[in-house]
This record gives sequence, structure tokens and C-alpha cells, in this order.
Amino acid sequence: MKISNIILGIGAALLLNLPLFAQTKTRNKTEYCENYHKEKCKFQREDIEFQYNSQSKSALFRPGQSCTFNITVFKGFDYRMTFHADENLLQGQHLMYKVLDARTKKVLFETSEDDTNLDFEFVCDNSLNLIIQLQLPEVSYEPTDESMYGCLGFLLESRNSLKTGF
Amino acid sequence: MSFKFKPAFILYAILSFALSFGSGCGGADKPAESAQANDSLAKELADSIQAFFQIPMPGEYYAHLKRLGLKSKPGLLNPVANIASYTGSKEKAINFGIYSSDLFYSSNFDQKADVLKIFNNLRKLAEEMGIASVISENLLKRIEKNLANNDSLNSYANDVFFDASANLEKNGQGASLALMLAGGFIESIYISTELAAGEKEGGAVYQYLADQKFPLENLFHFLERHKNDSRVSEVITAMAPLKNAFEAIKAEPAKSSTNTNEKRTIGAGSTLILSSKQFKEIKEIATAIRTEFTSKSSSK
Repeated sequence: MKISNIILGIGAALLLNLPLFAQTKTRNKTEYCENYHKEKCKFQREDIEFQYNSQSKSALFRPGQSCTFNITVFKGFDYRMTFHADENLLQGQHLMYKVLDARTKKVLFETSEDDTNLDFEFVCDNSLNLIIQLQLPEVSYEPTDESMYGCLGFLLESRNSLKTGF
Repeated sequence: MSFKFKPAFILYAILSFALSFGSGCGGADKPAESAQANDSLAKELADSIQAFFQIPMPGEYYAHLKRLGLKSKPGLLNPVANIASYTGSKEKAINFGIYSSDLFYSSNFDQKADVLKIFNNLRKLAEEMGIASVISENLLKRIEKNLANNDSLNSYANDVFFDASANLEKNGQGASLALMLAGGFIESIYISTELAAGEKEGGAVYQYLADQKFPLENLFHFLERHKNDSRVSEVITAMAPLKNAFEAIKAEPAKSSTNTNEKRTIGAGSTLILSSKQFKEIKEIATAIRTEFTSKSSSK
């Protein structure tokens, strides 16, 4: 068998099997979400000394899905949190979330349908666990791999509370 | 079609046949595993509806203790040589958490002597836990170059801990993740109570220690989710005295601070009060549990 025929055979085999490698890549969409919150979440307002908090997280979601998660916030710290979601999870609608005291279940904050600002900033007077309840909007989608899933990121930042004034 | 091309087409046929399976296996998914991958994706999404519980990383804990004025003490770390005795999967996962906490302590409190050895230990445990990618040869080289830089070391430790957590979750090893978090928490409480031995009741350090009651509650929720794993149920039993000791810390009415800016204030109303007696009890319990966790392996 001539070398040129071998090369031709290998080249043709590789070329015609490219779609299979592409399929492998889309199966790893969960990995794609891992650092989504670090890359996509942005606060609307600039502020000083806030640092990334390790309770931030990203995950893969379906449109219309809801989620609950718990974090701890500590006395003497300022916090701010925000979310970002892939557009196919929202399709022009808003992500809604509530923040509750984990012990009393009292609602401390909730987003409104009119407000696109997802940032929530607060001073923590005494340490507590918070429950964050998230709701993605129901959207219409074709059941193809691409639009059924999307990444959602939660970014939490914190700093030692700033004392202002004389 | 010329007969001289026949061998090339035979070769193409063989290669295509091999590749059509190869793209599904050998590092990517076999055709059978693609169905499994979709199933695991569906399960991951189903699980996401359940509550999940975030635990702060030990690095943030130590950074704040240092800001509060605590000083390092020698001889607190889990000896690196102990790794040889961790043969069971339970001890490996727990001590991945313990050594991670040691790393954060070392980088925050300038205890650099064992940093490289701890990273090597973590690498060995990561390989044995099936998450070898979290500490690459490249990362070790960068660590060696930056041993003098606390911020870089802390950043590397953050990345390793985060990647280990993400990998364990992704690989369906939630129970191992729970063990790792438990190990990290116990080590952090053990070290911090040793550092805080001379602190006064009512001070900021006592307050911050008392407030660890809250992440401990979340940790126990996470452990409970995996209690069907016998390794996790053993850890739940082992850590129950610590949970009870923290639960005994009562909240008292507290005055809200004067918030002079526009930000919302939350958590007003009550604050946890830790007594010297309770501190001593927590210190003793944490030390006992830590000794159990770092001692020789059981068979699991």
C-alpha cells in the first residue's frame, strides 16, 4: 500500500468523524458552568474592599427551575450578592429571588418584577444562616440539547464593615 | 474508481469504525456511557432543586482570625508523615479536608515550612480520590516559585479546595465531599481554639468562634443528606458532641449597631454569647475528634 494512500485514508477518516468529537464537547456542559459566576456576574455599583466570598457558586439549570440554598453571613461584615443566568434560561424575562432568615423564615429581601437590578447589599449586624430561594422563569424552547440547559451563577462578596463618619 | 485506491478505502473503513467508537470512549464517552452522561445530567438537574448548603472555606476563617489579632503557634499541623496511614477512603477524604485547612492556616499565618509537603500530600490524596486534576505538576511548580508570597499561596489553596469540591460533586462523590468539608471544619476549629487559648470572654475572637455554630448547622445538613453512606454516618456520630456543644451556646438580645449608611441591616435582634467554660468544652471536644480523624486508618 502506498504512503499517499495511507495518508489519504487517515485524513478522510478523521474528517468524516469530526461531528462525533463535537458531540463529546457538548456533553461536558456541566464543566462549562463551574466558573460561570466569576466570569459573568457583575455588580452594578463600584465599591471598595469587597472580596470574593467562597460561598459563591455556579450550576447548570433548566428553564423554569427553582432552587434553594443556604449560606452563612457573619457579624461585622458587609455583603453583596448578585446573579447572572444564560439568556436561554431567561428569554427576556427576569430571574426572581428571595433572601430569608433560615431560623425565622422571615423574608429579608426579594426582587421585584419591575426591577432588573439583581444586586442585594447589606450590613450583617449579627451572624445568621440565610436561605436564598431562586426561581427561573418559564420560557418556551425547542427540546434540543443547546437550549434546554444553561448556566446560572451566584456571586457573593464580603468585606469587614466600614465605619463611616466621625 | 481505480483499484489502486482500494487499500486506502479499506484503511478508511477500519479507521472510521475505530474512531466512531473511540470518540465515545478512551477519555470521552462510550456510546453506552453517552446515555449514562445524559442520565447523570438529568440527575444533577433534579438534585439542583433540592436545597444545598454552602460552607465557607477555611481560608476566610483564618484570614479573619488573623485580622482579629491571633498569632500562630508551632506544632499544630497534622504531620505530613501521617498520610502513609490513611488507607481507607473515609480517612483519605477527611484528611484531604484537614490538610487543606492546614494549608490555609500556613498561608494566612506565615507557617511556610511544610507548605510544599502539604501540597504534595494533597496531590497524593487527590489521585487516590479520583480527582488528580486539581493539583497538576504545573501548579506545584508555580507554588515552589511563590513560596514567599502568602497571597499567591492562599490563592492556590482556594483554587485546589474549590476544584476538589467541584470535581467531587461532578463525579457523584457527594459523600466524599461531605467528609472533606467535615475534616476541614474540625481542623479549623481545633487550630483556632488552640490559637485563641488566651483570649477573653466577650471579645471579638470569642464572638467569631461562637458564630461558627451557623456553618456547623449547614455542614450537618449536608452530612445528613449523605447519611446513607456508612462513612458519613460514622462522622455524624463522631461530630455529634461538637454539634451539641455549639447548640448549647445561647443567643441573647442585642442592640443593633447604628447604621449610618443606606444599606440594609440584617441579623439585628440577638447575638450568640460564648462563655469561657463553653470555649474550653468546645476546644476539648474538637481536639478529641481531630485526634480520632488524624489517627490510623480503619478498613474502609
